[in-house]
Amino acid sequence: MANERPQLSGNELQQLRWLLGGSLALVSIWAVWYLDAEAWPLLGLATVATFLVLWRPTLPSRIPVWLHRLAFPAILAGFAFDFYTFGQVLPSLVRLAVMLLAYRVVSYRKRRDDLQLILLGLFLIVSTGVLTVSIGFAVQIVVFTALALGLLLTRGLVDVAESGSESTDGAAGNPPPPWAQVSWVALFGRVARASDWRVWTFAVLLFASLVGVSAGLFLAIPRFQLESSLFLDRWMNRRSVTGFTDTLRFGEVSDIQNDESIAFRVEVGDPRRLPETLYWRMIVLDEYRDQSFRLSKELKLAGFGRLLTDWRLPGFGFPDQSANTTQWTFYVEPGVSRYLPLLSDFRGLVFTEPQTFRASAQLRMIELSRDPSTMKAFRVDRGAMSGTIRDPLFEHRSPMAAGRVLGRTALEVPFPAEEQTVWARAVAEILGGKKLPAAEFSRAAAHWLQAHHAYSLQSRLPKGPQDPLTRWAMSDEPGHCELFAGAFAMLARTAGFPTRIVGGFLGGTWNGDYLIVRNSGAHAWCEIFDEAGNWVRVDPTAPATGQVGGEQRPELRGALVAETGWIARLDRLRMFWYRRIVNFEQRDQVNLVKALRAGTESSSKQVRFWLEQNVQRFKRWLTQPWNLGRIASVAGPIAMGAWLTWFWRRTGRDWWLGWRASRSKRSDPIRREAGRWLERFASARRHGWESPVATAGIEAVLQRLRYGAPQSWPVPEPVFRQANRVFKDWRRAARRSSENRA
Amino acid sequence: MSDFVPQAAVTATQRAFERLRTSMRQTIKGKDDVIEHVLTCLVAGGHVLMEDLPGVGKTTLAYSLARSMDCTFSRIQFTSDLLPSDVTGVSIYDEHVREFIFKRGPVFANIVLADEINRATPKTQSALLEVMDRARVTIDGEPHTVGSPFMVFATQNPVDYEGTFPLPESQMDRFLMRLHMGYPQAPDEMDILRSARIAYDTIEVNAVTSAGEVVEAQRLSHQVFVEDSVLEFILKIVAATRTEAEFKAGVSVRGGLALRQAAQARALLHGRDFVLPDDVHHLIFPVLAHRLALTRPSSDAREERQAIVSALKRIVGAIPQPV
Repeated sequence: MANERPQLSGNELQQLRWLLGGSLALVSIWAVWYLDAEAWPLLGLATVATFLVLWRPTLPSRIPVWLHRLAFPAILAGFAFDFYTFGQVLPSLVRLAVMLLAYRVVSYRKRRDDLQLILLGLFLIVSTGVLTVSIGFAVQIVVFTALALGLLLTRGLVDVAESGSESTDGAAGNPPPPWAQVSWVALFGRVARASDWRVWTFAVLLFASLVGVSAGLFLAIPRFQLESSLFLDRWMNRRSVTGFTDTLRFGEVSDIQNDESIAFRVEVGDPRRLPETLYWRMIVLDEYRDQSFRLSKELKLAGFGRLLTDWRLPGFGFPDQSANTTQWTFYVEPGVSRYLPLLSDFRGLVFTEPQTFRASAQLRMIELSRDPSTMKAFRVDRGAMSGTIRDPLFEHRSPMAAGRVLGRTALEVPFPAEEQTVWARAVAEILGGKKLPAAEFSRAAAHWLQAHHAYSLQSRLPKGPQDPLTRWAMSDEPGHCELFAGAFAMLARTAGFPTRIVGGFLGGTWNGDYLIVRNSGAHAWCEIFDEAGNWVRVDPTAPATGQVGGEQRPELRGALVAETGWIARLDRLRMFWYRRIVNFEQRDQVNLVKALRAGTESSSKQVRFWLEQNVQRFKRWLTQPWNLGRIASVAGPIAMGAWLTWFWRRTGRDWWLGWRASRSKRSDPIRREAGRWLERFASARRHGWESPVATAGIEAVLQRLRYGAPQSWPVPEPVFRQANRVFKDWRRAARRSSENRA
Repeated sequence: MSDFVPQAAVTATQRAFERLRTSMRQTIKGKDDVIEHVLTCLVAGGHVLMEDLPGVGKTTLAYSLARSMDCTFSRIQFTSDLLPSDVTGVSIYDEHVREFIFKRGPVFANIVLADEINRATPKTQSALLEVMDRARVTIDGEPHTVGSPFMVFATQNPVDYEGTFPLPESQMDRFLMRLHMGYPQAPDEMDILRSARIAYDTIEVNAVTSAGEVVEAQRLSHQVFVEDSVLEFILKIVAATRTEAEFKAGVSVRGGLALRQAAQARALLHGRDFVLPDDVHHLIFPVLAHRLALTRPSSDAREERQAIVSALKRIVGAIPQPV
């Protein structure tokens, strides 16, 4: 058919592969120009070398084999010298990558070498991009990706074209492969004729759209902090914040209780010391106003410190001294609250990354600067689990402070006088004419409440002009935890005990080796200030019998049941992932790297000092007068070295090869070496080397070494030396013959 | 195989078979590759199935081989009424000595030409195949050893299958190689036309080697060294035929052993006491192709064989030779 497109031959695909590999190397090398890596001469040399081999792909065949063999050790030695002399890790690595890249570019590459070329280029591009963060990086990575994809595609096509036949990749020391004779203009013409513009257009559009979408996501999603993104955080916050704020309206906790999703997970340091019932404190609410409890401005100002940005926080209160190794690790889901769940006292707290927050040692609370939209993890050392919190500041409050700031809100019953009378009557009924201490009063008040009200999430408020809390407390209607806690607080305050509401979570369930706390575990309880200067936890909610302090409710024993089912298994997977990504030792690692770098710099200084000293010493030694003894001291080691070399080549090497052969049957080095020489001869013959040099004799001996019985082998080393001589003669003769023909 | 072969013995064998090769070339023109394979088969102690049209020189080839090494030659024309005893021999009563004596059949020769083997009944074919396998005939419980060396040249016509009993695959496996003569090139055919040859038994061939030398070569060939990578190469080829979907069944273990033996024989003929991968590569098609059958057999036998060779070529192409 006249309009049939030609197909690219194997040689043309190889030429295309060579061009793409060279271009990829150039892009990678040029990326380093943006980096202050002090590699200008190296970059210049690598660029020139790349252009040369692109212009003449036959050039790599002219590189002597010994140079090819020495290149890699020399590059490694250069890197070691560079690193020890200058003591800079990254610039040395970049220079190493440039050298390796240049080495790969100027040699014929097999499949593995093409992949190495891509990886080295990727290292250079990404290193430059991360360090410079320039728009040029975006362009370079796009161009690099396109070239790498093209290179991989052509590599695959070459492999398919050559499947089952001899590879034409070329090799060091061999004649140039047939495709190395290239005319780029002719190749481009062939590629153009073989290409379908529709496929090209589709491919370019696909790649462009992929780049476009990636760029969009790159701009929209910040690399490290989702909070810093352009718009996504607002979407997420609106959708996901369901938890506690600093104002608690009646019914809010009940709303949260309907949410069965996970609020946070906790890794418990010592499960044996875990109480049966866990109260996870998040927020303290001291002021009752506008039919809701809230954290008063006064308390917030007095109790909280300034806004900090740190990843570490010193402890609160009086940590559990007996539990030296107890650590609690919290993984708080986004949207739960900006207040972090805590038990009570602790020795220290560490975040995985620096956070902006306020902390209150007095209230045992931590408030993040904004509602987190990603999972937040923190670790608490020596967390205490008691139900009492010491508060010396509140205990020793000045009359002014007590009346105006710290005491007012905790004692305030903000009702009109006639309503306060109602509450006073209730308190009188509870006290029964006696004066009770805080703990006794708490039990009696909780008892009184539970005698009048049942627990229900569906509470009903009687109608009337009074405050809803008064209406409920003085009725027989069932209620939820907020109403119980609120009513208790008002009763205690009326009786003269400072009392506050605490919002948080109750209990949890085991899933493997960690606890799950769900939003449905949201709870409100009270803290009453006792005569000993402690805030004592009181949970007046039915069916509890007025649990006070660290008392355990018998009916809640075993409440920490285990989760089962595939959802639990999935959650364990999620926890596994959290544990993988959460790293509390990040700062320690940074410090370690800094220490390593300092150590490297110091050792490199020592090495330089040692070198300088020895050079000076050598110079002094050279300038001393020469006599027979000194000459002998120099000539002796040289002669010994020469003899050792001769002995090694004569006997030692054969012994070494034989010993290795006896140890490993499959990787017999003599057979391998003979095989390499046979392949070299065969490759030369395939490439049409013509010369009068007789190779049959040496090839027969090499065949015996490669395939013959070991007991029939000649001594291998002279055979390989002779093969080397014959091959060189052959190559010389072939070149002369080729030049004569030209 | 592990015994070391003295170089002098290798060289002597190479020279003897070079003489044999030269002698056969004088009668069989332009078929050096077939002569090469036949000699390889002889040294390996195997038998040849010649598949070709009548009149292309199959009988002449067998005859000239026998004469060149001073060995006995017999020809059996297989027909549908041929009996096993017509091949192996029969015990008859001798009145003079008053006992049964064994009268040897035509199989008691060094080179036996079994012409058109597929025309005989399976029973007769089996009788010959037993001799091929064991190199002896058992009549009335008494074994009778055939000639040494012993080689069977069986022939069959690849086109005319009417009234024939095709050899089953298990019996095809007994032949070391299947060869095709093909028509000679024009200049070679001109030489044949010029010569005053009337029948194969009128050709004058001088013995250039002895049966003893051939037997010695057969013994030596078993000692030729095969390196592990070459054995792995054979193993890969054999294994690949077993997983190829186009084949009904892969090459048997006997097939793999046959390839190794043939490669050892070829190495010896080339003056080597070790096998090269090239030896194996040269022998893959003659040694393995007739042991394979297609999953979907074709109605045309030649087309089917072509398909087998193509599939085998593809398989071998995908297996790299050891370097």
